[in-house]
Amino acid sequence: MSMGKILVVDDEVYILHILDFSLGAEGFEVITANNGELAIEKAKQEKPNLIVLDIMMPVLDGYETCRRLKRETETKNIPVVLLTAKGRDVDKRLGYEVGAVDYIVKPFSPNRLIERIQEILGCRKV
Amino acid sequence: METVQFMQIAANIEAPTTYMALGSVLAVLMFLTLWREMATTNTSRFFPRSIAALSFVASRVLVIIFTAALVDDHAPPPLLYVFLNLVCLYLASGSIPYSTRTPEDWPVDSGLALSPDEDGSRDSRRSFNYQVAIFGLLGALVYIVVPRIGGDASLGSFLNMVFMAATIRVVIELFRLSRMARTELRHTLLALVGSLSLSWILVVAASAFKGTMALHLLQGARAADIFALVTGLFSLQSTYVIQGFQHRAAADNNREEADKAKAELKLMNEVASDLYEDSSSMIQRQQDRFRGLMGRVDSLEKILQIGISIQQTKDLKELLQMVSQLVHEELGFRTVIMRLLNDRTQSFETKAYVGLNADAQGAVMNHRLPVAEYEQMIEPRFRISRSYFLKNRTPVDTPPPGPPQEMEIAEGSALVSDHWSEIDRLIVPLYDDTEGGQTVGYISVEEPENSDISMVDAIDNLESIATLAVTAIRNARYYEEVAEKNEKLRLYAEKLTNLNQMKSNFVATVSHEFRTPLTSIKAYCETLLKNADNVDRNILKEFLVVIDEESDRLMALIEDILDFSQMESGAIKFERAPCNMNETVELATAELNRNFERKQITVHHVMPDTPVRVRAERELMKQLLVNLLHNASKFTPDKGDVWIRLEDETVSARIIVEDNGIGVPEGEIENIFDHFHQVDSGATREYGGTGMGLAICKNIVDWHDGKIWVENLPGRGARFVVVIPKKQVIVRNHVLNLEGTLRRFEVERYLEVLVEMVAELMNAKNASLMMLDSTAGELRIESALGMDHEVVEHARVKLGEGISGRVAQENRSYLVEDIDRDTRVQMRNNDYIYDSRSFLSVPIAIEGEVLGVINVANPALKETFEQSDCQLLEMFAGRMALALSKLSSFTDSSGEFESVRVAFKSMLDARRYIDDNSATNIATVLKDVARRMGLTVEEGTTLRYVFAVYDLGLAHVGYNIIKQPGQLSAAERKSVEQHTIIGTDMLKPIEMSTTVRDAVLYHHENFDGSGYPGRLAGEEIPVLARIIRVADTFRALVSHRPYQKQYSVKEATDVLRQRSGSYFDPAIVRVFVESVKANADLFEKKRRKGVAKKKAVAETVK
Repeated sequence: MSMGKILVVDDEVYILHILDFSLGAEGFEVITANNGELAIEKAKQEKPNLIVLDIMMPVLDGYETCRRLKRETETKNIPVVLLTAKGRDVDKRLGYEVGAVDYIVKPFSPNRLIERIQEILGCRKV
Repeated sequence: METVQFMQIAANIEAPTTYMALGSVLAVLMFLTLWREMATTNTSRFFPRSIAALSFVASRVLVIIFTAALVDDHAPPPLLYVFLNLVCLYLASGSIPYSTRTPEDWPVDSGLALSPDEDGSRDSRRSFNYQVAIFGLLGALVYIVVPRIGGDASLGSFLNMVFMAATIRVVIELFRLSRMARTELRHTLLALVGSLSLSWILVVAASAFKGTMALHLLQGARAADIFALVTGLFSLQSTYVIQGFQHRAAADNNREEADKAKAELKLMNEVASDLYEDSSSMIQRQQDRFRGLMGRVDSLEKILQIGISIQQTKDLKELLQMVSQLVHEELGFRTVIMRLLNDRTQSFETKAYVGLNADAQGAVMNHRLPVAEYEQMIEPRFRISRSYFLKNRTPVDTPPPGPPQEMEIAEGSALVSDHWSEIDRLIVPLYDDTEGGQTVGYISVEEPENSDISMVDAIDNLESIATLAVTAIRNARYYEEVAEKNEKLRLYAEKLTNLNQMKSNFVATVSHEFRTPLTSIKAYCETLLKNADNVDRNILKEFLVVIDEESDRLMALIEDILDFSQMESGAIKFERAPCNMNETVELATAELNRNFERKQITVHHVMPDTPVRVRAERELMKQLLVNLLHNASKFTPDKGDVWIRLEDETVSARIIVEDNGIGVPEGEIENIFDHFHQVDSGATREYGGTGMGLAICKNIVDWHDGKIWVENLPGRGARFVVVIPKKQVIVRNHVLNLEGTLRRFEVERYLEVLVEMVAELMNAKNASLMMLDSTAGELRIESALGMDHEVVEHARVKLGEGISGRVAQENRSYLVEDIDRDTRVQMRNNDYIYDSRSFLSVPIAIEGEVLGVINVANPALKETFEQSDCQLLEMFAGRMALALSKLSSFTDSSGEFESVRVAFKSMLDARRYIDDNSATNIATVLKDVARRMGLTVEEGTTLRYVFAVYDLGLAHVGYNIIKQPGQLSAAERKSVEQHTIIGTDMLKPIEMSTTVRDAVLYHHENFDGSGYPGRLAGEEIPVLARIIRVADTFRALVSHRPYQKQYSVKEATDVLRQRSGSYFDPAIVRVFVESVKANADLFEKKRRKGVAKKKAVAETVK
């Protein structure tokens, strides 16, 4: 039984791979994208319950992707968790400004990420 | 005679009438004489004499009247007669003293020369008068005491007696005076006095007798009278004559006096006029001086103003312009030029001018006057104060066509005259006495507006201005220096800020780069731990592989950073070793296979068949290539192409990596190799990497003394070019320990660059430099290219032995075309250190003294060396001699040594930058052109030499500017135009020949005057420069350069023809094109070679 559908966006294959594994093990359905444009497309298509989004990506970076997601009516209610190597306060602030619900700095603990996701989704009582 | 006649007449006189007539005549004569005397001498004695004469005449008339009575009745002589006689005699006695003096005694300065008025004579006259009175009284006493003597006693008789007694005293006085008279008159006077006395006595006696006796007595008296009259007249005449003489003498005397006085007067006049003149000229002078002083005050005021205004100016250029302008306006010179000494080139450069026409401006601005020529120009004989006059007939400072030899100075004008018309120019040196005294420049003025102005004043003023200007220039220079330093500091600070910025970017980027693999490792590890109990083996393995890979990635990253920082600090010691570049390229490509594979990029290798070898650090070479290829792989899109080309050049290897990515943004071309230059933008993030790859490349290339740059291939991608010197030059160890005065590094690089330059210039594979050890009488190799290390260390050649030994001994070049056939070569085995049949050995000599020998062997592009190569090497050997003499006299780290090295290095750089083999072919063409144009062998050789070195200024302008396609900015354009001047400056330390320097300086002049730097036109451009202009353009057209397409030979010659007459000398274009046609096979061959090259491997990785 699915705990929910999660869209993971990162240009690093290994990250996608491990998140797929970990979230899958927790019962989430995981879909992936390796750049921003693809992410928006998949978000519209698949209507995930949550999006884990990297910032430093080719073509369209995480901030911009998030901004666009928040502009679209179909996707604006999907919570976005930013997962990034950019750990400075300014980066975080920017992240919240564009509409992210949480900001997790790489290197990250997969367990912690899962907990956060569960918290966020739990609040919504899916 | 006369007297005799008179005597006869007198004797015959019977009648008183005759006596009366004769007496009257004589009396009248006497009066006339007296009158004349009075009229001429203006004597005041006229009246006494006249009265004397009158009384004489009257007394005689009385005697005649009473004659009858006297004769008939013894009548006493009438009282009146006696009285008149007394008066007559008395007055006569008063007149006689006039004749008593001798002329010598005459008072000279008295107005009346004959005046007797002296106290003595006046006293004697008074006593005489008393005596006359006493005699009169005595007569009266006699008459009273002795009666009857007078006959009857009556008053008449009494008076008669008194008068007669007085008369006696007067007569005595008369005799006395007469005796005292002048000798000429004495006798006459005595006769006169005697006759008068006799006449009186006779008349008196006659009165005492009667009848015939009385008559006879009276007749005797008459005769005596006549005689007295005659003698009286005679004495008067004589007196008069004497007086005349005296007067004449006096007159003569006076005239003499007058003449003397006149002469004196004249002298006085002269003195006076002299004095007048003196004083007037003095006044004039004073006035002039005053005017001069006023003028001086004026000009000083002007100068003061000039001084104030120029001291306030801090900009040197503006300052000099201001000084020129002020000299022009205030001192009234139409043309003013200011030149300053450029220390680096030791020549005077025009910095400011006023009053030049447009034509002259360019010429003057670009004409640089070397110090030596300046010193020839100023001649001590034309010196005034500190300034010099030039009687130069050549027009306004124009550089004479051809080599700028010393200015011609009109002969025979050895002296400076004060006429501006004869003077062409006035040179006022700017002499700075603070830095141990140096002429830092000069002001040259021409054409004064007012040619009457005093030259001395003008010089005075100019020199004052010059002194002020020197101070102002010094200040402005200090100011500029300070400003420059400030600017440098500011740039430095800016750079530091940037660096700081870049560093924090770098840290951010690096930290990101670290986080990425770390993130994976952490995530995988944590997941494994969490699921440790139930994880699938396959998944476990998969996870461990990821962790391993990411660890490797992290390690590589750390090593990159370490390498970079170590290279940066120079901490790592690398060793140079022979390195096969072909292999290195293969290795590096293989290493990056994965990257290319992933993006399906095709890698093309274009490499010569024979391996390209360099002396380099192998690992670094590999890393260089890996970095470049990695860079290319990042920027090339999927399914793109990457080209690696390797080219073998004489002294260097060239690596060219081209990709067909997005190219390098224009703004990044300059600093893409900078450390930390990265990549903060989203776009670069796309390509990943630490951003240190290119910085590491740059470090590696620098370490190898190479060059690296990037060009954009419009619409195609980027091209990275690396030139690595082969560094096959070996420098003998001994040299490196030389005297301890030189740093090993410098000497090594110096000797390296010399030999490299020779090899490059001669297109030879082997070259060696031998120096003569004169004490040991042998040659030793100092540095060599393409020779065994052992040989370099140990080879010695005795003077006179082998080829080199003989070259050194005879100071003569040896060209061996084929060593087997050359009979001069005896000690083949010993000699023979190169693997070559053709051999060229040239002495390095300075002023006849051989310093060493330069050898080349193994010509790269042909079978044997030729005579023309020999001449070219000889020409270069001259430059080497100069450079080496500097090395031997070099005692500390003065800049000169470095400047020589830089000169050679720049020549090499310029040659290496130009990416073509066409230079060699064009050199051949030029040889032909020189022959066709009828140049001398020496000129032909110089032409080839110039062609080898002319572009060295480009190295300093910066290749990036040259490479930039499209329009250059004004500043860049100016910078490019500078390159001929910079090139000439750089040649300076090794180039004595002005022909060579001028050819380099003017090789960008256009035939129609539109080129740079001098805007010379036509024949003004040195002929070598005109030829180089054509050859350079042709070379640029037929070789590949980023800013233009590559032309075929045909197209290139067409371009030359089109620009013939505007850019190029038509005559030279004609000859050049003919020559290119004649040598068409050269260019043809080259193309075939190029095609052959392209046949090389085009390898697709997977």
